[in-house]
Amino acid sequence: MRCALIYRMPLAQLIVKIGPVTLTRKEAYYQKHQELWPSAKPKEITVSALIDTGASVTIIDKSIVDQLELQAHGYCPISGFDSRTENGDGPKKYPNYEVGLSILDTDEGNPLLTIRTGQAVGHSLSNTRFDAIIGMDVLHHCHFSVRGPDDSYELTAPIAFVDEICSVTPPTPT
Amino acid sequence: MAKKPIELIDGPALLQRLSGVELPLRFKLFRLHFLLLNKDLKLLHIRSMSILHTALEPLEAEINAFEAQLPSLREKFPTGTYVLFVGSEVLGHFTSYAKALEAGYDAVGFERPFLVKQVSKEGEDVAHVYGLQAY
Repeated sequence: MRCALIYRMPLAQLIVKIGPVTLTRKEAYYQKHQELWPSAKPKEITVSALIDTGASVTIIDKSIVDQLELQAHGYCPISGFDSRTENGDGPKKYPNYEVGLSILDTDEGNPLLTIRTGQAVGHSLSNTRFDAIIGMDVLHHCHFSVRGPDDSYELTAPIAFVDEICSVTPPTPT
Repeated sequence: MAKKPIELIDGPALLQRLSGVELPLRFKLFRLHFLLLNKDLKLLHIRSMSILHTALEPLEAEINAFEAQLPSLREKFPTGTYVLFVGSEVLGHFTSYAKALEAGYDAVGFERPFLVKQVSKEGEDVAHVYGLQAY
């Protein structure tokens, strides 16, 4: 897809879903207790996301974590943003959550890329223009180019469905 | 009846005070406490602990165990292997994140926290995110 830069930023529509493993367990929990899934509880949320090649991981705003009632099953040490510990040593640890992700093709209205399950860091982004950052863990499965003079960017995915994304840097080929 | 003054205590002290309360309720109370503080007293600075930090509080034992055992895990398993920790115990190792999560839910369900973490090469376990403060 080809999109205009907004405020000179490559922004895309991203669907953030409760990860499939957690979702299955939660649904089973309600079924066991003979309850319906509460209508006020969303299973997915569509947000505006910044495509950021300077981020090695994908980040979702804390409000998404709260709305989807996600629970941390991991953590990610991050350097480079808001990352000093209280005593100033080492990168700060951030919680990460099991999520499913779909980047929407704004031309077609269909998902351009769907990731069945992956990990996203939860953090308060405090930004009015986007609620998530699409990092290199997702962009690893895309072709992305900025057309500066046209104020646009191009994003394509050679494979539209990825079962799982990996948060650890893949081993360097020898 | 005289209104009881709001007591100001910091995050760690509050967690300690709530240590006997069931885990899900404990974190709801913890968050409510700070939401009220923020709303009523405009207390925006919370000493030594942010609300997000509380998301990792239940995993403290697992995180400490994982970090202590990481050198030996690197020797035992190939890079990228997912290990499952409950408390300080390794419950299994897996080739996919989904399989490790399944095993975690099978073992403890929603009752106890569990940690799923990939074994990384030394020096490759830190992620980088730049430029956010510019926005």
